[in-house]
Amino acid sequence: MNAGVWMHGDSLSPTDPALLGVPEAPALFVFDRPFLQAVPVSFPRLAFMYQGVRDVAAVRPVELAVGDIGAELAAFAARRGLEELHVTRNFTPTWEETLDAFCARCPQVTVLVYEPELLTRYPGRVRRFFGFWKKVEREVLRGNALFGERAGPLRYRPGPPAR
Amino acid sequence: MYLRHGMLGMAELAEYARGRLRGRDLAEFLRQLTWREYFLRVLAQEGGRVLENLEPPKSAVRWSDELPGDVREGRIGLPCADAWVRHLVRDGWMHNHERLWFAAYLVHWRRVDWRAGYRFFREHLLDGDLASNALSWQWVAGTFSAKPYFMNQQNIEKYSAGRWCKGCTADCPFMGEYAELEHRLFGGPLPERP
Repeated sequence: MNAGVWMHGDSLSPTDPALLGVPEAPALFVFDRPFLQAVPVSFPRLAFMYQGVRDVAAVRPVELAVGDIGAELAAFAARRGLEELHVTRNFTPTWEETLDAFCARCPQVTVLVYEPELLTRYPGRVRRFFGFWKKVEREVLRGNALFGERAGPLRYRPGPPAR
Repeated sequence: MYLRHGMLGMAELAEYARGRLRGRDLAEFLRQLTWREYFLRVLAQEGGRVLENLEPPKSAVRWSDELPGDVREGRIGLPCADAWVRHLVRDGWMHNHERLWFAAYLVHWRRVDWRAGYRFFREHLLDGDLASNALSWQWVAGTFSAKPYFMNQQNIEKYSAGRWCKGCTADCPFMGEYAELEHRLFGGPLPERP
């Protein structure tokens, strides 16, 4: 399968789960122009992220773009002839919107989602920190989650089209 | 900031700590690290709602929407608060205590909506992050906690080793016992924690 990786702002490490999942595949990082035009972000912060992208680029092929993320991912997929796009889950609400936009543009590409590294496997809802801590304290202190089998990626199912 | 952008993983950092720390130091480090996972889990649950008040404020105080100019420029006139802004804008980083103190100052003393502070942090912090920042601001404001967070001058002096308080001649708004400040800031006692 011809695979590529979407590196986002939470995955700037060669040990990111999606990057590890397909170690030979090229990766794309996009500076989100519409977001950056709407939201002020200081130059040192952008430079810090750029340095993170360069650190990954030192050990594997990485492309860097500035633009609309969904459109840039689609262009990356076309350029590389991708059949699979690998990405690590991001909890930011716009992450799913971006993947939905990509899937609408490139329905032939299978999107595979890796879970990020967390400290616990707690499956329930959370409310106050203290209650959450009481439920996960033992697992976090012992580190059991570190030694389990890492689950493989899941196929991403796009949400219904926006009306 | 390395955690924020994934350059370090939480599990990787926890494993490193387990090899270096022992006893209460290890437990406290891991508890602090778990706050990040907690905030991520809340973000996964609530989505974009983390930018709205998740709970009603715990007092009837009205907040203004805009970040005051003297705060943005670090010309507040309080050596401590101006240093916090300087760290944010110049270094892109603030100590956790400074983040809490600055947030409490802005929301409770200056009566500015926490979202203006959140945007100021997002602009400058190298580790600016929707989950940790928005929810921490809400925790201080009392819209995601049983009670708003605030501090007094003694707390600042203790945890900064007197860095700004020694020799300070400013008219300190943080001076006073907690009960007195509670009355001054919120117009009376706050609800007890459940």
